[in-house]
Amino acid sequence: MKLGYSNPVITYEEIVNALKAIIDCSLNDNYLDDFNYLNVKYESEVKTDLDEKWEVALRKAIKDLEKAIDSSSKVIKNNLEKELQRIENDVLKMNSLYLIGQEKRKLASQEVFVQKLREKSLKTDVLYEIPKEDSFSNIDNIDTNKIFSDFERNAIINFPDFFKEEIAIAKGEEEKDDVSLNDLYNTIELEPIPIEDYAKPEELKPDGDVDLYRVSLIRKAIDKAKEKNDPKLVQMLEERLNKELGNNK
Amino acid sequence: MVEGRIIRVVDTDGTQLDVELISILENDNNKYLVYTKGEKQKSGNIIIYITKLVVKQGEYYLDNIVNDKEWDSVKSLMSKLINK
Repeated sequence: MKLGYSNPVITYEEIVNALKAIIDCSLNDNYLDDFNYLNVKYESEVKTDLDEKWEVALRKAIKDLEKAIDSSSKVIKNNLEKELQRIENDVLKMNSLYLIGQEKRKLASQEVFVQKLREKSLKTDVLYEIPKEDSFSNIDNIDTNKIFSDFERNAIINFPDFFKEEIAIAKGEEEKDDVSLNDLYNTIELEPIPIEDYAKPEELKPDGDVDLYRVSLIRKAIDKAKEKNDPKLVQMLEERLNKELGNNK
Repeated sequence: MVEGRIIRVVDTDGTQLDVELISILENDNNKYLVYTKGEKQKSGNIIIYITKLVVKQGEYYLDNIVNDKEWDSVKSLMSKLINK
């Protein structure tokens, strides 16, 4: 390919390379306002006025082309950046939703776990049950039927690590810690359980004469309530005692 | 979470604490008490304690589960419960 009246030796490859250089400069934000990379040569080795006109025209054309490419590349770059930002936002949103979902699922799993423990519980009426009318904060007038414990040493059901360990054992991977969360939470059945499926819970009884034990507890409670001068509680406990004695008849 | 019964427990140093009873389970003729003090982990999960319930001289005591075999047995029991 030849350009120019005086046939300057500019090959097609040189122009392509020059354009590539312009594009590279534009895309790399390293644009140099310099056309020296276009090495124009002349057959006569002397630049004529006409050569000068052609060269000026050629440089102007390249300059315009360069501006067009530069502008286009900036538009493309801006669009790409916007698209990238949009994708990043979408990914962030998806990750957030996933994490929130996982947290909700973990909490729901534990609630199901606790609910099942409640529903499978043996009867607990042997333990002293604080009447509902006595609030949690006003519990000081109850001082009987103590259960003695060492809280700090009692085992903690570490949820959900508890299940993690169970899964690892089931998979024969006791040495591994990287049990996936999906596996972990998939072990917990979140479907509601029909009440009729539960076996009738048996009554929890301490050793010895249970009725006398209950009566003795209630009497102790009455004594304490009297000491605390709480007629309402005394009345309630006496009713409970009468009911207990009546049941024993 | 469904509110459970409140029971009073006395710590070894005499400190009284009211805890929420979640469950009493039975396994191998032993009874286990599951309770919470209302504490929560950062994740929002409630911290749940489990301990062996025994009766000594007419009083209830919560005994530690110190035996690994017994602890495995209790965990197995709970796994069965939640997977039923």
